[in-house]
Amino acid sequence: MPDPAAADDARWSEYVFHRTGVPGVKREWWCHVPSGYWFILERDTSSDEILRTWSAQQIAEAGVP
Amino acid sequence: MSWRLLKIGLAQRYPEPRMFRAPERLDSRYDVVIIGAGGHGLATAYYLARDHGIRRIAVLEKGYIGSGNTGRNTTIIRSNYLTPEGVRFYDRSLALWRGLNDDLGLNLFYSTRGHYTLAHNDATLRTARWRAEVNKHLGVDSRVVGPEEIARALPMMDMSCGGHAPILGALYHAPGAVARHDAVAWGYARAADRLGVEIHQQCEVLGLQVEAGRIRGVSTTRGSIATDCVISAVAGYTPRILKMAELTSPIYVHPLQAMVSEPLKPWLDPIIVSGSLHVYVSQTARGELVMGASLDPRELHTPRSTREFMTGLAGHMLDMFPFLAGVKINRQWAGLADMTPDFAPIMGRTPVQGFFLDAGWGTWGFKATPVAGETMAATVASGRNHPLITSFDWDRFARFELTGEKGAAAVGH
Repeated sequence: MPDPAAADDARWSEYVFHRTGVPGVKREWWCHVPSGYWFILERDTSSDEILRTWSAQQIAEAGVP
Repeated sequence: MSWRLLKIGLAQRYPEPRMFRAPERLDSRYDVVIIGAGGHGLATAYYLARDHGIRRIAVLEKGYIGSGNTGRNTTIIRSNYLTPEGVRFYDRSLALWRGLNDDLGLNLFYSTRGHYTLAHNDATLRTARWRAEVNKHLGVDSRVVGPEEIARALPMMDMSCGGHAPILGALYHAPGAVARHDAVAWGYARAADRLGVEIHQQCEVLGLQVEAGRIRGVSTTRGSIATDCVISAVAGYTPRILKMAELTSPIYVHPLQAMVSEPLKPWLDPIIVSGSLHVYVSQTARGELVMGASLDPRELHTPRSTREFMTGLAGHMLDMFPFLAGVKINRQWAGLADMTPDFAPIMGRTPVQGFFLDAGWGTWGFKATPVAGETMAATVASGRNHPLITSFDWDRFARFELTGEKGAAAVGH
């Protein structure tokens, strides 16, 4: 993340608004709404294939992957 | 078989015309290269040739014309937007739509039906009043109506929506219309082709040649083209094209699904939208109900249909029209929506000289087909963003001047 005090508008707006829009493997936070359970999931955004997951326990022990 | 029938068949008195030529070879140079032969790309080509005298135009399409979102939308046309910039822009589109059958010489089945945006709570009613006032101020026919008027227009509707979302009122927009989406692509394609535009199908763009900050050419599966002017109009594939020019943008891509029922006798004249129930529906001239809902919740770059979408939408449809319980769903499909943070498009010049963008159309692109073509053509011909699209420019995010159309562009957010 760029330093908000030092970044110019163009750089800061890129950080705020720009996305990695192309297909690829992404890590996402997911929430199972009925139970409120949060976890991390790695997914191919082209095929929708789930590649791996990190449980809340694993994240608590080893930090965000 | 009768002898007369055979004679008529062989006489070719009524030959089947080709809608557009299929040039065998890609030339080595064009004045303008348009990536994407959807409604927007083809409309841009048509207006460039017709109004700006640009001769050598190639439209490159990796599939067949209109195979992207142009062939996958729910065909709703309206100008009841929230911002003055949006209202002016979409209303210009309506003006073009009304003359489009004649301009293109093709029946687009444009049908003015009236459009209700239902309000089930005070917040939505407040937005409806806001939109109505902005619309009226700019000469667009929209007004807020109460439940009595809605019930009279739609006697078969359950005004309590299953008992949990009673209708308090609606934004009624009389000019709301539908059209045959495929016909729009074909109409613009034929009209552009007649003016000398070349349409190259099964021709995928693999790379963009950029030198010293300007576009120099395009490489495709059918060879390379030298050009000083490229327009990208590829909707959900935009991030991939932008990457070829080493550009990133705020655009994110989620599937948008839709479905259609079996044909029914005509019973639904107007178009109905409910933000709270995440539904929009209209009945086609063939009697089918074309239905859509909110954007898929996660990013995905392949259009695909889900059972979850169909059952969710069916449930909300039955909240409004319980008598449809026995009606069958014929077909489901999806497109790829190129979404932006402010639900307004990104149009015109980009940081690369000679590279123009017509993108960020999310779930609101079909209605803009004619005006997008007209303004992109004018922008490319003059080198400056057309006045109607200056609020949709690439630089607005760096200026933090977003054009907030979320309240009027889509449902389910």
